[in-house]
Amino acid sequence: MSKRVVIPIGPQHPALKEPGSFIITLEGEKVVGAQVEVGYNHRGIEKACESRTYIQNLYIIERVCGICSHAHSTAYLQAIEELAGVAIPRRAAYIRSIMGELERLHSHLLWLGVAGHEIGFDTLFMYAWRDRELVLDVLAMLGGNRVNYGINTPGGVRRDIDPEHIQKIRDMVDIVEERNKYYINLALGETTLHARLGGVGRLSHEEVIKFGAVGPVARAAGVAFDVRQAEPYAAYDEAQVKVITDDHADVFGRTVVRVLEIMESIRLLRFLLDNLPEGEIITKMPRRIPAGETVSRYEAPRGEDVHYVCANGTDILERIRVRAPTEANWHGMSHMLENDYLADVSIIIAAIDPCYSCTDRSIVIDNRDSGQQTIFDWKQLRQYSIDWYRNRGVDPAKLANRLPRL
Amino acid sequence: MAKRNIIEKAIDWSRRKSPWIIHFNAGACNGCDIEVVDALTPRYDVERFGMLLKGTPRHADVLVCTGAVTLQTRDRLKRIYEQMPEPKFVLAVGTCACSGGIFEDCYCVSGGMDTVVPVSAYIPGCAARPEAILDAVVKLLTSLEKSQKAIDN
Amino acid sequence: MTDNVQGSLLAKFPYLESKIKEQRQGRIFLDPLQKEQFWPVFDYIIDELGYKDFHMLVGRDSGETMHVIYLLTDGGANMLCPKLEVEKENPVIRSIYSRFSNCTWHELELVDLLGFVVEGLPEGLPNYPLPDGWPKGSHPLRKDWKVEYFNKETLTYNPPSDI
Repeated sequence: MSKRVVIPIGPQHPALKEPGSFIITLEGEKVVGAQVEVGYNHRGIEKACESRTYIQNLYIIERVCGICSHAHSTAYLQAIEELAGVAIPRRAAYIRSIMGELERLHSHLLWLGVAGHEIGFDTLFMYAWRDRELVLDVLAMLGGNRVNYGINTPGGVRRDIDPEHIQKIRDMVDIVEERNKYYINLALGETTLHARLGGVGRLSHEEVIKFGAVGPVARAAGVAFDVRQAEPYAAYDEAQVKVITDDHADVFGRTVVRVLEIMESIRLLRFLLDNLPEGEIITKMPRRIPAGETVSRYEAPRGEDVHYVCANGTDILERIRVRAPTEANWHGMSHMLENDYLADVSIIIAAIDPCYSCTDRSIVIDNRDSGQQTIFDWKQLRQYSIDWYRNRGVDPAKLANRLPRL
Repeated sequence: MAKRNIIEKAIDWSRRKSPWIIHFNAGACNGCDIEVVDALTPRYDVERFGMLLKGTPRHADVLVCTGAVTLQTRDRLKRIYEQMPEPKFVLAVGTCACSGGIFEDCYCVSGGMDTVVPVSAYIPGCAARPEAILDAVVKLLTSLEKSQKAIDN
Repeated sequence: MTDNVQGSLLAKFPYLESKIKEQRQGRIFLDPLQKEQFWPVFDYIIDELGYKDFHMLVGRDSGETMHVIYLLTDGGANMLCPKLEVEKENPVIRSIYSRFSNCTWHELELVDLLGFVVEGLPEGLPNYPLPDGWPKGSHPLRKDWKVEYFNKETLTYNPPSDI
């Protein structure tokens, strides 16, 4: 007896995505087939960029995704600075990297909370998002806004970091590091989490390459690729990144990679602060960018972000195309869902860390035998997952007593 | 709003004190969506006001919507609004939901929410801060309380 | 490393003379090629030169012609981008799906946004990314398409008649 389960996934992706669906075929409770159906929240950003100046485009590109806005903004500027033949001051490169690592911290903590929520471990959600607030306070202090920090400008950065800011960043990082030790202990040490997440959403090393998966999803399968290390940009030639990998190639592995990347980001932040060079924070950029084309790559928290830019010698670009990391990760999704249970669907999807907001959607269940159709919303799917695992003795909510009272 | 009997007043009071919210992303970059969810977390803790995030429009009092409405989500937004029972309120969260923001002239963007549904409160910001969202909800509830009192008296 | 790539390409495909543009270390772009010249180069880049990773493609309206730029890497920092050119009057291209199953949405965008015809995509894929009801034959990423002539209420495109 098979049921067709259609799981529409909410608008959550950068560059254009909107409620997309999954068509899932179940046999009993197991997923035997999954197909990503695509319907997207396309805004028309690429076209809009063709009628705005380079600096106006910066503000649109920054808002392709509100969680990794600095990633998009930096990738875009790297492309046009390269075409203009402009080298930004070293201090600006360091500041961009500092903001990038802070963004990675907030994004990974966000993910940790969302993943916790999906598996019924709401204490983790609350703790991770409370820690995240500390990071957002620092981001707002440096950039002026909690989201879309706007620190970048063509030729460098708009705002400097002063010694008081540096101390505040250090203080925050010390706290987050302490808290993250608990998250690492949870991830690496708790059998309940391993039972809940292990073996779920598998995507092997070969499959990662075949489907073009990026970021923590790829690194969790042992694919040791990180743009910061492969083609260092900004200050990463000096602040060398240790690429974090794992071999589990499943949701558990993706969790391990992210909590360890939080630690690595903390280490990088300390390096960047210790070695922050004196100097200017901005260099003059021409208004008209000489004709040419290039591709800029950036390691966003979710993975490789690719920006193609073609300039034509005027102050308006000829063509821009952005491929954000989550787009790359959707392709392996059907594969990840196969042979797992319906109860695993929500965490598998959450574990590729799609830009949030996938949880407002409804699910239509087509029962082929009875011909009946029922509407399931995401919350019900989530509750189904939590109950299913609880009935089998796996209850992540019980881990709440492993987290310190904070 | 008409004069109500005692049962209706009780329902109304409990609705004012505990509005149930549905959150819909009409085409946002997720910045505002995260701030809406952030409002649930310990620092802002919207649940102390009795606000609950609901999954379906049929149980919701308040539609909290983010994003510049795209041509694809326009109809869905309308349907969600229509499925909500009266009385219902709509919050446009973030500059894009208010007016379309910087995406307003993009070919696939319809514009702000009020091009599709009536809006009760506009919360600007890019992204709108959780405090601003809470502030808007409280103001909405207060104005609801005031106008109902005026009718009752 | 990059010199080897240029040397190998020129040795195998003399018609690439003066068509290989190195923007910087690790970024090589080829000038647009017609399909007879393009596909052997494409296959060679992947099979012989080891550029096996497909990251994205970019559709371009270049006036009388259109072209597609394929962004391929060697799994590391080096990117090699061959380009396939077609006449705008007959913009038919072959899909790369048999090589890279993760090309689908990129190629569907070429269809919707630029009006390419892509042969060889799997059956049953929906249009993407434009909404249902989008006027047929109206491709927003084309250079002569202007949002001012597009009516978002009625989903109709009405350019002035002198264009």
